[in-house]
Amino acid sequence: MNFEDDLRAALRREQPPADFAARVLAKAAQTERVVAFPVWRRPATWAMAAGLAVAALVPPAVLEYRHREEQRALEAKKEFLFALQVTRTKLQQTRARVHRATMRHTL
Amino acid sequence: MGLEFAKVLADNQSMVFSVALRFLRDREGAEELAQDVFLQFYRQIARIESPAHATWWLRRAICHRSIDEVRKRKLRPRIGLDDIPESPGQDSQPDLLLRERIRKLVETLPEKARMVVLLRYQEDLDPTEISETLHMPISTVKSHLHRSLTVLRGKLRPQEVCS
Repeated sequence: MNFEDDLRAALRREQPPADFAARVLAKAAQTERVVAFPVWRRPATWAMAAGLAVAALVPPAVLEYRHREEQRALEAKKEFLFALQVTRTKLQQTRARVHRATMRHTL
Repeated sequence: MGLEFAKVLADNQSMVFSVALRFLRDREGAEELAQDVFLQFYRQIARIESPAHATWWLRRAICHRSIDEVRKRKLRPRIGLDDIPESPGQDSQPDLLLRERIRKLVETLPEKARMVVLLRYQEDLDPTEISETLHMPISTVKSHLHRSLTVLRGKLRPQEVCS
């Protein structure tokens, strides 16, 4: 025999005591097993699905919000410009009236 | 899926017990650790897909638990050459004594090298399987094997090594 065969022979498996299996089975009977839920029933699966749903829904929602804000800003700008225009017209009318009144008074 | 625990236990108990025994060098501790590993397996059995998967799982678990246990106990090998039986005479049972002497020498190897030698020569795994079981690069496995064989050969008296 060569040395490696001697090693194999020396390291042959040993049997545990005769009552080993019975003791393990008795202990196992008092042990709770981990129940393997199907993938769709595992909490981790639900958490991942929720994460994906949030990831899928949030960007469009953010874009929609931004778009609405921009629309509102444009509306506000339009209203402001319109108000300025009205004010300018009124001011011009007032100035014209004042001018006419001053002319009459001078004459 | 219906792996029967009693069958897995019967098929693998000598592998699990022997790895722990050779590694811990303590029969009682080996029994306890083997029992723990089987109970851990029992809790996970629903996730085990086949008898081969069960053997793979148990082998990996007992290897890692044995290494952890030895580290925990700080049971670094302390057996000197004085503890090794004298070389047998011509009229004794040379094979038995030589094997006992080889076992004692294996016990003196460092933890990782010892586990590699056990998996190679007790479990008959090839270096690739050992590397997967121990999460170790295959080159490290091969170097452990090479170095361990050299050390073991060197420690045995020349006349005891047949080749």
